[in-house]
Amino acid sequence: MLRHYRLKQRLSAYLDGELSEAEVRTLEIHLQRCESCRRELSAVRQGKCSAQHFGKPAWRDSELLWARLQRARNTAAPGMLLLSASRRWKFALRTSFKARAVWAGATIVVASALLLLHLGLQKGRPEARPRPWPSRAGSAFAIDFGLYLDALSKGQEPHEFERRYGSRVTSYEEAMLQTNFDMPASPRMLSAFQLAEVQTLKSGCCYSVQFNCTSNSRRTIIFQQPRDHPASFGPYDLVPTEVNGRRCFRIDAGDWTVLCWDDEVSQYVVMSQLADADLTRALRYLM
Amino acid sequence: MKAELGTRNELELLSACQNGDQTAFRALFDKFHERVLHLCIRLCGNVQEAEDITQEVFLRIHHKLDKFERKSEFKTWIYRVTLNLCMDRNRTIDRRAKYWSFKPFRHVSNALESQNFTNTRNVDAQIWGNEVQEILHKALMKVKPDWRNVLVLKDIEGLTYKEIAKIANCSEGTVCSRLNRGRKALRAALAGLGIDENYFRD
Repeated sequence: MLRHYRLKQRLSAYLDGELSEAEVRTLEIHLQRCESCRRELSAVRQGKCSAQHFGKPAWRDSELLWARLQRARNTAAPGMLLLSASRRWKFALRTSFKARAVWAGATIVVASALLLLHLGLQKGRPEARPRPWPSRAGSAFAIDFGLYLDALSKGQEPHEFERRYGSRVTSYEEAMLQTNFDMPASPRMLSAFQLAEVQTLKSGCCYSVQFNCTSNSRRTIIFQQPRDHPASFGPYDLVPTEVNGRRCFRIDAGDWTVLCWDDEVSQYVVMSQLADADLTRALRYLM
Repeated sequence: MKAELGTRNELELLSACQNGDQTAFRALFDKFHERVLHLCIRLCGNVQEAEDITQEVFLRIHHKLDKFERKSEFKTWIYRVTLNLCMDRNRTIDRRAKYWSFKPFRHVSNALESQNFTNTRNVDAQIWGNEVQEILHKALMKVKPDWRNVLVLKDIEGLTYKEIAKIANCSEGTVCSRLNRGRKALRAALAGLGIDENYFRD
């Protein structure tokens, strides 16, 4: 025997007379017993009665439709439904244009609001603060600062450096005070500085910049010199030597060792108390 | 000539069409366009769309005449083409309704729903003639498309379950269950529109 839900699905067929005699008999027996199916049948019957009252629309434009069809057939290339495409276009335009227009409008509004906000902020913003003076400068800074000091000592206007690092120093001495070398005020360091200053005073150009060589807490000091450096460095002799496979000059200044080598850009002098291994590492980093 | 064409059956007309006889195509058009249009109106709800789709149906028929293998009746074929085109259109409408269904655009979604049985050209109200037909059509539009297709093909076009199964590409059992649901939904929709259960009686 067919189960309840399968019989329930056949109620329309029963009403439309599409069931076989045996099926009709089975269903009628089931209907006598099943209240839910009787209710369902009554609902479906009411739906069917309503549906039978559907009338035909009063349509009189047959000729118009035929003329439209002829026009479409004449314009359509063989095998290509031109009208279909145009209708699709028309439909797509009519339906999605609104949606797209709304989205496009919203995007434009949001974008212009953001732009205005950005411009407003830009206008109201104070001038960019100069970068804090680097307490631990890299080699690029070292070169810049060397050039800057050089320019200062020659009385030139070192605009580029001031713009780049926000420096407001007006003299070599002031620059030396502001560099925040972060060095222990050991007598040896001070003597190294003195050495630098002596050199500066003597040769009249360049040169003292701190560089943190990354190795432990020891300090390396770089000097920058013009390419046409003299063969001597103040009162000290330059001794040709080789470190890390590169030719350089060595200066022995008391318990400081000073190394200088050629670089494509400029020349550096390293004063160091480092052990040879550390010095090599520092040089590799610098070169 | 016209009388002569009128007496010829569909298969003869089809053969004539396939041989390039334009009068035969006109005869086919005359014979079927009202049914196709009526079906389109019932399935789409919108007269303007229905006209477009009817035109599309006959264009397709004309282009694909050679491919009609005569395994089924011509009537079944043309109904099937119509049904597919209408379903395409309804799917597009559904997609749009879904697209606009989130809250800020709810009014657009409502407008789209109402588009199913209102028309910018205001033709719809005129073609039904009386209010009862208009309400019936409104109620029909509230029935789910799958159920509505079957309901329209059975109760309006008067096709058999077998033919409907072929047209809607489903089994006869499915046709029957969809018809059940469609009829119940129609009754519920009518109740929703304030029509009493016993208003339509045999």
